[in-house]
Amino acid sequence: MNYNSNKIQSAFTKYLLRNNVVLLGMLSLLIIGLFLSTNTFATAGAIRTILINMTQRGVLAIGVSLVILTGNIDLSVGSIIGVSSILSALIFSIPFFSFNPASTLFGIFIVLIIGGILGSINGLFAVSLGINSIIVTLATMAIFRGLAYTFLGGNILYITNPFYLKIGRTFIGDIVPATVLMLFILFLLLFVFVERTKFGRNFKVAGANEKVAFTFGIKVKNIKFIAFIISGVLAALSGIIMCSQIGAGAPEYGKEAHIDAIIIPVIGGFSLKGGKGNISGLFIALIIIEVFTIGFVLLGWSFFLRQISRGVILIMVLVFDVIREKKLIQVQ
Amino acid sequence: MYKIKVKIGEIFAKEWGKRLILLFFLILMIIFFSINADKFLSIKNWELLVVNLTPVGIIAVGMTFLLISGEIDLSVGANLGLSSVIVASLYNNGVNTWICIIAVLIVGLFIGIVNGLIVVKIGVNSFIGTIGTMSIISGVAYVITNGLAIPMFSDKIDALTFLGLGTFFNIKFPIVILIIFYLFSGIVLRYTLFGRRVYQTGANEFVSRVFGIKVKKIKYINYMFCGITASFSGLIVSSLTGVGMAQHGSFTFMLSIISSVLLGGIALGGGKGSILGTFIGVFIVKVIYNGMVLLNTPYYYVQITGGAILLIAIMIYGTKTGSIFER
Amino acid sequence: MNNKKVVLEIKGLSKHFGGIKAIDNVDLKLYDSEIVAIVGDNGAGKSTLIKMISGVYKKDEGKIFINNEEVKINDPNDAKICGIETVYQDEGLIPILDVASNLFLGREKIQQNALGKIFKFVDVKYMKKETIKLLDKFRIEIKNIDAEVRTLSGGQRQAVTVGRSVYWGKKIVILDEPTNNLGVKEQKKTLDLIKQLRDDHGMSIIVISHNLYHVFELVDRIVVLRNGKIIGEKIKDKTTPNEIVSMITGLVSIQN
Repeated sequence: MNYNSNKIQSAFTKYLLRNNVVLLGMLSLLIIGLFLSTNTFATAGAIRTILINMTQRGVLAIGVSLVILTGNIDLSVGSIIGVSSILSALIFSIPFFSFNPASTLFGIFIVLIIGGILGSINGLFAVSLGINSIIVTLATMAIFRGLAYTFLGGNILYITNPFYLKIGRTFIGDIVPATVLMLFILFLLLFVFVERTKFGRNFKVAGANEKVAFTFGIKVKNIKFIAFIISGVLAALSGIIMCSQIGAGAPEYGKEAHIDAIIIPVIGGFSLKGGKGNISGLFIALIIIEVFTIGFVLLGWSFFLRQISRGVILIMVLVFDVIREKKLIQVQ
Repeated sequence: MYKIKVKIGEIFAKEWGKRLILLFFLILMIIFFSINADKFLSIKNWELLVVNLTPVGIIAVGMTFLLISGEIDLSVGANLGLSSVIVASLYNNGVNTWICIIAVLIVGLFIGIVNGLIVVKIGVNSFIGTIGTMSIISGVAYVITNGLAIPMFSDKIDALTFLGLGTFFNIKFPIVILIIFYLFSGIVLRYTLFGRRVYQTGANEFVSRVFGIKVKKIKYINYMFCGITASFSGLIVSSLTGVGMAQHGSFTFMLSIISSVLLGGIALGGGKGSILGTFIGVFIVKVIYNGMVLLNTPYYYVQITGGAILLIAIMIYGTKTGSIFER
Repeated sequence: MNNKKVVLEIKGLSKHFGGIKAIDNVDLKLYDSEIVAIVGDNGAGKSTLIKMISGVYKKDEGKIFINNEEVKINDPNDAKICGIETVYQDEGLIPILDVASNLFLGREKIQQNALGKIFKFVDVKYMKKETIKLLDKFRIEIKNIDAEVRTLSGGQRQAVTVGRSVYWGKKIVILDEPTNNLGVKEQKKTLDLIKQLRDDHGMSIIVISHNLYHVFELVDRIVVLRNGKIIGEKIKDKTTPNEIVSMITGLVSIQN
């Protein structure tokens, strides 16, 4: 039986590689295309912008991909960003929290906890009560967004806490933001967690086949619930990073984040049905979306045109996901 | 706790039980608002309420058909916004009124066809797929207007102005349209073969297909119907407000339609529901919104309420086998 | 075998899924007023075979003859037009609809008046009446016929599906594991119903079953399928359960 599992393993690695080869190919084509069509792409400024945006989007994507892995979806992440943004701004307007790095950390911690609480509200309805997660997070998307506006109306609040601002604004060698390091670490953690730890591997199983997982003693409901909490916390973290970079918090931040939340994992190899996911693919997908985004900006497309293009990418990605599922079934 | 769950489950198990509770809730809401907000009970307010209810109500019918057959369309709000933008732009450029109307209806039909292609033909999940088309359609509307409103200038009474502002035997025209549309749709859904097919498609797609029912065709038709109702409502809104803008099709607007339909007893999985239920649901949601507006509640509380209503609605009517209390 | 009329004949029927041949060159005859059992182990191809006859699957090769005339069965409707009614393993009922709706699924009666002709209004009264008649005829007890069929017991549901095949069946009825999920009393009732189909209505019936006890109680002829091929046919009175078992498992292979 040993040689069978070896064969399965090498076939799996081949699939993994094959999957990523396609993505890497796409990425290279994109980069070459942009390189040729604009004269601003290969500049340090463009790369710097990509790296700046990458963290905030990447953190978000990691959280949502965990939820998708377990077979659910979290559309409310954008609204959680909004809540965490205005909340950060409010908290750090209190002198106590801007006193020193420790108190700043404490303030950040509070915001992250709130993100976790919002995530657990999603978990309560989608997992404990068993309601379809798309509708639940559609509803919480509205509820949380409204919540974000209750603090200060629609106003934007500036943040002056120097320690906080340092988070988003320290650079290594003037190009690479320090937050990118944090992103790398998070990705690494995610990889180790999902692929290597016993508990983490259960995420995939729980998402792939609930019933079977349950009979194997895996606490499916707990896992799904935890995924929502993590998504909430990471969405809050994403908001914190964003505000640190901008220097202000406003309730309308993250308005289109739910689109990214779906696109990046699916391009990265996560199936919307759950149970399938590829961390390295997620990373490459993140870069692809960043390149796309900056590409459109450099090509001079307006904000709304870019919105349309993201919608088109979403549809294409969804169609691709469906075709991929069908092809797999045929192969079997 | 379990006993309470079972008790609630018993009451909810009967269709009329749910309907009764909803009606009771509607009356409760009306009483609440009439006490707390003056002018709530005035005829003028109620006329305004029903007129403003018409766009939601008409789309809710299209959504009812679609949901019962097992699919959903989240792009209806964006569709309405785009339709209002298109009609305003054409109208201001002197295009013949009837051509404006027909052009917009064709756009609505086209959007329905595209949604149908993506969801029915290719097989993308209807929620996320229509979130994608919603994003694209609203983006198009915003690109055309650049975020601004397009006021419509009119000094005569023509088909378009009559649509929103005309009266028919002293009843505001939108109300007339609403009543006729609901009567017609209700009869089709309940008594005709097509109506039956819609229920069968949603109740169990696989078995229906085995018995020769053209499930895909039914869903396609419902998507096109939904699209047309959305653009038709766009015409009404443009006529009522005199403005065409992408903002007409807000996310909250779309949520209120879904909530109305769900509260009216249409199960998310399909196979259950009625036009009468939708009518009650639409009224409940509109009463709540109207009441809140009269009480001068800030927009964000309305938004939160909208999401909360959706959650409550789905808890009561989430699945085709009943509420979550019945599992 | 005997001098009776051949009602259904399939010649050279084959079906593959991907690289696997599920049904390989199968010939089968079905005579007038008889019950034939198709038996075989899991994966032998029983369900696939009858799904081709009932139109759910499209055959890859072979011909189907009804009353010695070749027919094309490309979808379930074609099968129904040819007079073939099928009772599926997972019941083929829509759980949240009532009995009458399920009975007339896909074949609803349109009202004969103007409303019916122009708007296709459905004749609900007629369908309900017919449903009550059918239930009475087969002595199927259902207290509330407006209830959703998922509230009925397994036996009642099975009775409804078999009853449906009687109501619409013209000549040929196929039953896929009709006694599978039933209690003992309900199994007996179902078997009686099937026998009624042959004796009182002169129908020809194909039954798929795992339960050799029921097979021997019910059928006239037994056909054994293994790996997509027919490896033997036996007349019930001329064989024993043991012989059938060994044919199914392949210990002995006997060609008739």
